[in-house]
Amino acid sequence: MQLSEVLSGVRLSIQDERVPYRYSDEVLVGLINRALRLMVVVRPDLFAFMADITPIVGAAVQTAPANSVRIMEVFNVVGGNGITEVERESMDESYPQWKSDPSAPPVNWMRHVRNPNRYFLYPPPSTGVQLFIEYSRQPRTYTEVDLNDVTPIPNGGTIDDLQDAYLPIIIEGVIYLAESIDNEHVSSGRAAASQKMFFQALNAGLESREISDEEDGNRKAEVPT
Amino acid sequence: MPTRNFDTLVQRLVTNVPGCPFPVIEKYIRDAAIEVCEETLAWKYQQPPIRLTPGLHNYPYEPPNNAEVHAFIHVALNGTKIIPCTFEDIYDQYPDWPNHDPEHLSRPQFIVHLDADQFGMAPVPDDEENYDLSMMVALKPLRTAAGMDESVFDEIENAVMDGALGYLYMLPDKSWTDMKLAEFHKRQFSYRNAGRRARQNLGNGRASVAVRPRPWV
Repeated sequence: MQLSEVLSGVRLSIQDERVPYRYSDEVLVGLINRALRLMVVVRPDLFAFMADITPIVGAAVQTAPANSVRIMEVFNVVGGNGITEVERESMDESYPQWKSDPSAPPVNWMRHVRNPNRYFLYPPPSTGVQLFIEYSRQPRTYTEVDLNDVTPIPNGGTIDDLQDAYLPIIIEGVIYLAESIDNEHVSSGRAAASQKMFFQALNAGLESREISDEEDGNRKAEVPT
Repeated sequence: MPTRNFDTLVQRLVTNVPGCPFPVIEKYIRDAAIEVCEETLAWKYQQPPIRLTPGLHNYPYEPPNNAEVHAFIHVALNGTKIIPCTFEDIYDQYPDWPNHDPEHLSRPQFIVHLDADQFGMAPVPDDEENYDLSMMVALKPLRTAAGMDESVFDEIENAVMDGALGYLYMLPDKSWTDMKLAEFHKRQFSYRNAGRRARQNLGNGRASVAVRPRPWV
């Protein structure tokens, strides 16, 4: 999905296609950045990104990459064993000294429930260990310059991570933000309609997972109990 | 005697208790292995001969690393079987044991299990001759052990697995807690332990156990 596609979709919907524009490209790109940040908060899974990372050697408490919104999964040691998610509370209760165990390739990982960008590894990783993880990646901050850049992913004016199918949703998000600006062009009704459509579409995408992501298409839910 | 670590069984159990940390699973595998060893006497070990010291009544066992002695299976002094007995038996026979007068020191007749680390001889040995003690003992893993004898662990693996799952499913308020499965695995544990114990009693052979009536005296 190109940044320019979003921009032209927004201009069409708010009837701002003639120069001089009511909203400059700079302003609309800024609003696209804001809409993307709203989306990543509501649906971090849309910006899921998988990568090999090098953890801090010997540390039980690890930090997600700098551009992470939240850690989603720690899959395995690169070229090694799988890593299973476990309950930290059980670990603390049954094996309180776990953080002090000698370094080795980790076999368990635990979330930090109050800090989405921190996680725990057991045992603490040894030198040379790399992890294959998935995290929700903070969208880049785009600028006007990116509008005309059509370099393929992950550079230039391409919106990273987000699938093309989400183009109408991000357009609604930008319309909602643009029509909410307090000026002579404000359109409260259109802002409200777009806001509603934006959040409903994001949530509908989540609900449709029951049909698309489950082996039985969620037919169990139709069976009367 | 190759050692097999308890964590090698973790992968077999982890799908039964999703979310349970590996060290917790390993801890209950160890606990179950200790219990199986205690109940079945499956881990037998021929201890190196011990030369008794005149005037000394207690001696340390010499088990392999990561193990301790649970019971005697056979004890011989200079090739002659001697009888394991209780403290009460010893005090009945030798009220001043272990603080005999020097003239009461003699060839030991009895052996008693003092604790997992040491045993006692009664009467306290004299210096009339050299006494060499050989013994076959039943071992169990230490609470801090990382593993145990490989061939024994292979033999008791299924019983250990049921025992560990029985404990893990009983832990309160965990995502994997399941009292019904706990009961099932505890029953399986008892059943498998009984089977292992019977096999050990038969010397792992196929001979049937014969019961012989003892006459009243």
